[in-house]
Amino acid sequence: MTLFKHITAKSLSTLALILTASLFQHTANAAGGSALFDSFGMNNQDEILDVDDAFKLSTRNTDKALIATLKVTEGHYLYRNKVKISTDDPEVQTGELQLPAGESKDDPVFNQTLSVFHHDFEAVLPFRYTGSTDKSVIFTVEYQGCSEIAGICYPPQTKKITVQLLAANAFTADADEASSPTITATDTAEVSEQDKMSDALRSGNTWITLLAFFAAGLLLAFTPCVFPMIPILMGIIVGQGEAQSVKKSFSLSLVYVLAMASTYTIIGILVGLSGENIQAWFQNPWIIGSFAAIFVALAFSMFGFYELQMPSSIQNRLAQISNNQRGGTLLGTAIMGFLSALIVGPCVTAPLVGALIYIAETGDAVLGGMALFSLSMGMGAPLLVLGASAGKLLPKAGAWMETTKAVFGVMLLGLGIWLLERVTPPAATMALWAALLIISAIYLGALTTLNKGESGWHKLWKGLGIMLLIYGIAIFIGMMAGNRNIFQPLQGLSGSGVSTSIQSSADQQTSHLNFKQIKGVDGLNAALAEAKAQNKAVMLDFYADWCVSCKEMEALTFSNPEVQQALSGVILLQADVTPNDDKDRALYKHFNIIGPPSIMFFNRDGEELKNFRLVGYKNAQQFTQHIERSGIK
Amino acid sequence: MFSPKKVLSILAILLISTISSFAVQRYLDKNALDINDDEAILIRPEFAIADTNGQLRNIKDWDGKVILLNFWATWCPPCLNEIPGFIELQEQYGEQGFQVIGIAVDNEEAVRKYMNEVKINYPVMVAEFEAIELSSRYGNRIGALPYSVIINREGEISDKITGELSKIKAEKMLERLDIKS
Repeated sequence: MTLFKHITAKSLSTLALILTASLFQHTANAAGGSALFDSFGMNNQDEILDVDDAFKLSTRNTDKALIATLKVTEGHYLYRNKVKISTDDPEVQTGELQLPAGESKDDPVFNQTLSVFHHDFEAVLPFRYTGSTDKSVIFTVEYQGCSEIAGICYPPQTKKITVQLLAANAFTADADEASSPTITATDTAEVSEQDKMSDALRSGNTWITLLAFFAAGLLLAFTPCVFPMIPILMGIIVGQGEAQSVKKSFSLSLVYVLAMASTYTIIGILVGLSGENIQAWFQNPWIIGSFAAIFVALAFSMFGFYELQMPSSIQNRLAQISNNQRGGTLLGTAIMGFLSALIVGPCVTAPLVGALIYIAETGDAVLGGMALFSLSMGMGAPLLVLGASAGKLLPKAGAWMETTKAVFGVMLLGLGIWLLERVTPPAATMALWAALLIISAIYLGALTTLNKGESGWHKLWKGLGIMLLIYGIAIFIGMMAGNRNIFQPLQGLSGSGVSTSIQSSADQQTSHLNFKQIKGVDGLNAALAEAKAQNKAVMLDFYADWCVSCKEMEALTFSNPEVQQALSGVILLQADVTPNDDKDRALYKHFNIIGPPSIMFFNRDGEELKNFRLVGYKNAQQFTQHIERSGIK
Repeated sequence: MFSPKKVLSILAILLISTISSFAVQRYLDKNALDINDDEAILIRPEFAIADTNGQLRNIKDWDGKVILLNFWATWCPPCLNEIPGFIELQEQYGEQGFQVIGIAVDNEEAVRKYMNEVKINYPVMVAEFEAIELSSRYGNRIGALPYSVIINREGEISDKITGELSKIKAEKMLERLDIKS
């Protein structure tokens, strides 16, 4: 019996569960009919929900009331007389807790009728805050209940909720102007974007929610999360050779996008259910290296290196099995879609996290998965349009076709280098970039003299070639001078003839934020304690080399002077979780996140402002506004 | 010579197999750990909690007996269902060195009131948060009630039961520990 229990407790597959259940039925029948139910009773460890899954607490507040929403899972109930909300804060006067009428449940032992809640309900605690400064106040919410399905009860629950309350005089000032206090935007608590998305899944119309996820995906399509997929897909289509029909190029794109979307969905569900950041596993030098190698191979076939060498015997055989070949191409495209989703663009974004939170909290993989799929299809939709139009717009054959292929070949090589940046030292990838640019420039004819009467196109190519050549050389020089920024390779070298004061102001303009690196939960706590001692607010940024949005934030948002201005006086911490080791994972767990990008804000008391968590890319303006709204300064 | 498509597919297959074996290994590692965790033989943790007579009791007091330790509460209907069965078990097998012990996650008044209605013939201790914490040390992962463990004469926990434990099922478990019906 114990053996069975261990099997069921551990086995994750339904198959094993069914098997065990049927085994139980046998033993139970052998022992007599009445034992049947008991056997399942013992077996029910799997079906017992964690208390936080059985009863989900969420709170919001106005300036006069705290509203706790308790979602009661079907087959469970909470005792009405055990629901309590209180606070110890002397500056908060609370009124009587308002609860809806419950349903009655007979208690045969004490011969009384108890009032219970079998369904979701709201508990409202009216209060008045008399303090003269803004402050965060801790409320305690208590509740207690049972599961009728599993035949068990849960121990009493006590949850601490931190609520940000505005100074009392702010409201009296309002009252002076109007007889009744006006409701301002700050009355309703801020809800972070990812929570909004997960709330949308929880409540509301499924189809509209899925549409919202699709729209969110469309927006993501125009970010670096999806850009790298463009040359891959185009490479596949163009690589098919001549005469692409719209139908064929569209079906290739569709296969690619479907594979990408399914991968995102499956990975998302796995992450949601296990809480492990699976995509981070793939950011390992060997996998990245092999994928970069695939890009190089693909690029070289674009340049036509292979077709030249293909012996006629193989060509004949290929022609014979041309039917299979078509299938093979589709399979290859699907594989590329699968790998692209895993390795190229592991973007953790607010809608994605929203869906993951929903799956993790409810275990509802179906709706969560549908949301993830809509999101990825939204991301893929522009690729579909692009792929289909490629069949129409791309040249059918001849010199132009060769040129187009070569351009995509260069882009694929660039993609390979971009991937390598995650695992190799910056100097190495800078050298590769320089080589790619310089060699492409020479192919464009940058160093060839133009003959008289050459076409305008050749002049254009030469001009472009020279630009690439100069940029390539600049990167090369910058690399040798110890610079690591390919966007400003010569930074610091330009100062030779310029006075030092201008030099320093230029430096300031391009400088990035000065983050203090922390490692693990201990490192975080130490840094937070230090900040609290200095009475300073804190921003914590989760960063990893393989996190596309983190790099984007670094390059575009954190370099902006307005952002730097907004963050002055705030202690900036950064957790570089590139290694994704145990300490990093402990830190994810501490914040209940799945990985970067994620930015948290802490007030001067060292308390996190959970509603202001940021996930995904925000531009300088959005970011500055966000900081102002959070009021951490 | 290989065609570029073959080269690509070979590379892709290699990559996928690396990835999947890696993922499977991670998964197995994680699970193997969990199983070890659960299968470790647990020696019953000691405690000191007052019984309904106000006397501090420790599990050690019943060393050498086969023990059914039951965590329950008066506000927990399924807990109350199993108590009559426990009373019968105590009556029938007490002589063979079997002892039922109840720990109520409750307040004393409610327990006393209940014990006026139902004559419990085994010791009952009362504690609130302390009792929840104790049940988790006895392997109650979710903190659910009722939760029972059976402890053999060597002080090892031989069975953990979440949810209602019927008399028939308890008897089957006790039989393996030489408590004969």
